Amino acid sequence: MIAATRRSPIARLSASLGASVETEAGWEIAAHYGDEAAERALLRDLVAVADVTPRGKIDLRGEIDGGVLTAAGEVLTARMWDGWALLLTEPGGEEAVLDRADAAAGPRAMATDVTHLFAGLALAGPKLEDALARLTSWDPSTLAPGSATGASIGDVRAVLVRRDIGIPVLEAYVATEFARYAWETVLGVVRRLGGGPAGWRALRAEGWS
Amino acid sequence: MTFLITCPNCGPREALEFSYGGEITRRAGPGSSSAELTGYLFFRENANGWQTEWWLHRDGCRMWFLAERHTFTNEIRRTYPPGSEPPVDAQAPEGAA
Amino acid sequence: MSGRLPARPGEAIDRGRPLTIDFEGRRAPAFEGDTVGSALAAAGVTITGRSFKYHRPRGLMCMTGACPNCLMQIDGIPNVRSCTEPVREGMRVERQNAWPSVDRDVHGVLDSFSFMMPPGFYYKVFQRPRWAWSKVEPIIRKQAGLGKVPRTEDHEPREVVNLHADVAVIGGGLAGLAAAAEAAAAGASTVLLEQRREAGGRALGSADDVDRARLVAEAEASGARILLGTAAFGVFDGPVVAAVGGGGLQRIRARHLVFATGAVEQPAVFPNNDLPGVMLSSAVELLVNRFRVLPGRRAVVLTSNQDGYRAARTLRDAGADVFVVDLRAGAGSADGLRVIPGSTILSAKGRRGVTAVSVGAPGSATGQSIPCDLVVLAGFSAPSTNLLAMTGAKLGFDDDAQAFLPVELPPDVHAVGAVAGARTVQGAIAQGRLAGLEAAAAVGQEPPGAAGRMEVLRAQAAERGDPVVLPPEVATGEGKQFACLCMDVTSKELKAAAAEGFDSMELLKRYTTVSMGPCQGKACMLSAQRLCARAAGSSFAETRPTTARPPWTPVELGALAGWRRTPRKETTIHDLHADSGATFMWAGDWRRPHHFATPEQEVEAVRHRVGVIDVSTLGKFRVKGPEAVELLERLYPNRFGDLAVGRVRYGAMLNDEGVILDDGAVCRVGDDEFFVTVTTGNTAALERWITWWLADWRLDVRVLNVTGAFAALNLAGPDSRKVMSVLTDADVSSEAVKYMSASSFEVAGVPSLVLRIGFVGELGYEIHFPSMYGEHVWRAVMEAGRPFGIVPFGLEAQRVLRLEKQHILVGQDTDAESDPFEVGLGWMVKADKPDFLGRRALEDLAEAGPKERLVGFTCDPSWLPPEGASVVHEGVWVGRVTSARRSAAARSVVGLAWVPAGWAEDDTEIEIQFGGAHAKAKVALKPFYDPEGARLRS
Repeated sequence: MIAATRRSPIARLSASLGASVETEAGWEIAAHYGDEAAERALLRDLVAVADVTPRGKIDLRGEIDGGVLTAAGEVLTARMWDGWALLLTEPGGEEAVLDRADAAAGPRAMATDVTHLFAGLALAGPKLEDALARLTSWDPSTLAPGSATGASIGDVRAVLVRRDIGIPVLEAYVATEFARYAWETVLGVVRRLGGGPAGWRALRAEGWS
Repeated sequence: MTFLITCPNCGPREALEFSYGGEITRRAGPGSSSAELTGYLFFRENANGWQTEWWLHRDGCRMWFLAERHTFTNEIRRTYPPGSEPPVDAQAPEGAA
Repeated sequence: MSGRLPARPGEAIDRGRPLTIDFEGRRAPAFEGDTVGSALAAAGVTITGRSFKYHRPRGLMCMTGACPNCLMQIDGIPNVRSCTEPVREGMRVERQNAWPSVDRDVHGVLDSFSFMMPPGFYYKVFQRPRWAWSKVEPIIRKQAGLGKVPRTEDHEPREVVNLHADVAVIGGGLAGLAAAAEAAAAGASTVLLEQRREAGGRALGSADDVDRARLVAEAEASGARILLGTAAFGVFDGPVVAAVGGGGLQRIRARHLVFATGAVEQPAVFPNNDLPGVMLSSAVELLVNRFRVLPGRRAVVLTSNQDGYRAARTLRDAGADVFVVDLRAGAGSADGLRVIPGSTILSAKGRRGVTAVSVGAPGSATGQSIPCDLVVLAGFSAPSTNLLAMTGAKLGFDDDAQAFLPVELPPDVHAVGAVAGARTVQGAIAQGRLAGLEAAAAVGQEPPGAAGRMEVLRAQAAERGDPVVLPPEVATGEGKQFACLCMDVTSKELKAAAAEGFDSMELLKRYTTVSMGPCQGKACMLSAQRLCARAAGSSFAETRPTTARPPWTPVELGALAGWRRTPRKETTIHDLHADSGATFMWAGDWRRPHHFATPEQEVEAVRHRVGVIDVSTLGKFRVKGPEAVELLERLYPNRFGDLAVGRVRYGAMLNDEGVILDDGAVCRVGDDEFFVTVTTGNTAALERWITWWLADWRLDVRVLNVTGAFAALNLAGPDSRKVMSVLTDADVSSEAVKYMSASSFEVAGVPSLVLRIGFVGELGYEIHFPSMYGEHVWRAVMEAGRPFGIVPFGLEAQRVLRLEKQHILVGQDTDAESDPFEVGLGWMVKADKPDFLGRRALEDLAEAGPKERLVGFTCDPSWLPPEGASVVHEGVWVGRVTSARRSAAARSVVGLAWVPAGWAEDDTEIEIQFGGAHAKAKVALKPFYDPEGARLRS
């Protein structure tokens, strides 16, 4: 039996764009698209989109108190409202976080590994707002860096996390079944603004994690 | 449908982000008369004026909440999660354990 | 009229960059900076088109895009406003609405038959004899409309851009520029929309550019986002301003709106006022000052204020011979101009252009004839209040302005400049600045000193200017007097319509179509109101304009359609299906394989060997908490408290009418945890349903829609167990993994939940696993199944297989009235539960008994009845077919149908009809294949 690898639904679309694939924590990730320097330039000067689906995701719902969140550890937390939070980790980090959250959750909260429930896109670059203007009627200026909310992107609902790292970055998590549609839609807008796809190497080199 | 609704969690958003859940109703459970059942299933106040109704923030926090909206002007004077004051216990099944 | 005036500073044309355009097959010269209208005027073209109904020659009139006279077909696109459309090298320009040519239009003869074509004539003429209308209507229909719709397909989708701002200023004239500059400088995020490609509005035509240049620079420096070439066409709830420009649709949401939409000069109404050569002063100023074209050598200017004198001076300085006809009695000669005071234009003469006017005191029957080739109507403006009115602003009649001005505005709406009644430049600018500061203050941006400045501005903003005197109505005279140029409605026709009883503006508009053309009332509403008032015997002040509705300016359907996005759903195994040559179909918004090889081959494989289908689309919910059982027992008529961990139960959710909403499998995976599957297409609706009830009941349970988190494969067929044993080390014997069980073990090395249920009626396993292992597991299954002849199967094969077992599909075999008793699911209703959704309604339904039943049927395979075919009895419709397929196993056509309850007995004969075909069929209550279900339970 071949060892099981996890593949983002966007993987084949990335491959057709020339993605160079690496394995990380049992996932295939798009490391770059042939020219890492060019991708970094897009991130710094225009706008680019990356497939960040391999990130670990834990759904917490119910009575989520501070205790559960502390137990979860140093983890990017998208607090949607009192009754719902999404925890985001590096690829492969979800198992450990799930164990800790589950243990601390108690009967009135539920922790679920939703790594496979969402595909993720990271939109980054100075033209982020121009791209969003063409993707949603939601006002991005209402989301401060470090915060999260839900809104529709390209006519599908998404969990949005704003993470600026010198350049504006918005991570959008959409339902897995919409992954390819969302990628095509967002990439189309990004391209019309002069941008393109970016790989994990370029994104990490700019300070993202 | 371009007016704004203030989600109790997310703040003002376009109405298009929400799904409408209808007027609040009082459920006719076991022991109701046929007339009460029919009223609950098929009749609504349909007021020209202030109406309390359900909305779901479908594209946002996905929470169901209540709104008091004026059906003629679309002005919304209040939005609040169910269970807030005043108590809105419109749909609890009667006789449930 | 051909040729250009000498160069002057501030002219719009760049004489160093000449170009050529193709005008009806001839080459016409132009300069960069010209519009098509100005270039054609310079080339001596005086007739720009033929009018809508009477095909009268028309020429340039406004040069601002407000009237319909210059609409032309440009590069194949009809109805382009040539007066504002910038020239491009090689563009193809054709005039419209004439045959064989605009210069010699055969349809011009209609003008002589106008007496047969008053407004609404198509309701009256040609009605008798009855056959006349059907012959004439196609001809009239072909005549109607302007321009030709291009026959080539346009695949360019248009972008929709959403903008957010504190303040949106609509209109980039002097007042709008001032408002945007102040608001942005104060710190409010500001957007300015201007429909022309340059800001300045009316000031674009003036000889002296100082004010305009200064304000443009100030607005640009302030940080306001200035969108040129962007025309607002509607204001919607919110408020949201919709505009076309920038290659698509701009959707602007702002907290404050400042309307600086200006005013449009109105043509005066007198006989033959539509002749080429009759222009508004805005057109004259633009043509002479910006485009350096002299529109006529002998001009008569009709006016009652400074605007006319300004236009007259402009013409005189450019070399024309000018008379000024001043409506006011007290006007003397000004600046050496020849002035005829206390007079008006009584009529114009000419055939293909104006050649003379008759001038005299208002009301006189005859007057003095003045030969001319240009008539200028100056200074009778109507404020453009349409967009403003869409916000709910109230308008009231203002005597000094002789117009309806805004009198009551919503709190976040401001009106400045000509639209608010300002008739002086300084007044307009002051109003703009004041509104900009007020809007900024309202959003919390009040720079130091703002309050003081606002005080000063308030005083300046009150300045209104001279009162307006409108040209009087001309009672008699030879020739048509046009009130509406777009739709060719004359004053006589308006009066006749009013006399017929259509004597209010709303009725008059709908009956005569006045103001319903491309200008939407910009150039005609004022005249129409005055004529309506006169005809109805009321005052102008009492005759309100018609309700303002979008679009205020024509909008391409493509812009409204936008990018045409269609969200689609695909499983994580989609690419492999495509690789295998699957033929896809839409199932709701999912793309799913309909078949791979052929449905018949796939059915055969599943019945005799093994097949696998991707059912990842199934809706799936994780339900966990101390009150999980309570929730499920309220949502379903079934009992679940007694479902053991590791067991699966089939359930159907009902609504309070007792109607079936959905069916699916409920698996208990823990004491307080369930895994629930529902029909693919109902997932979103059921998520709303379940969470809605939960919001009200507030039970101690959490529900999560995990549909996309799990891929699911249905491995089915007599050899499926053999394939499973290759895929896993776990014990998959029939004792270990029983029918209707839910087990957790690794499949192809991936942790999975395996349900033994049988939608297709064979030994089978529904394997649920984390979706992004999709390709891995599918490949492993196909590999493991190869020695057994495994095939992938699609939706069509699945449909046949399930139909052979009479497994219903909710929404296909059931509808919005089907209750469980009618479809043989009465067994799942546990009436001894205290309450569940539908309980009360089911009491009545159980007592009454079903009136119709869903039953299986077989019929001769020579004809396959379509879904929806009728079940008839002695010619009367009594039911319908919901599903039907040819079944190899049953060797006949099998299906499900609704029949009267009394007929629900084996072998009852029924008759099925559709179109002209019909067949006899027999009711069969048991599944057509393996009726005892032995294969399922093996």
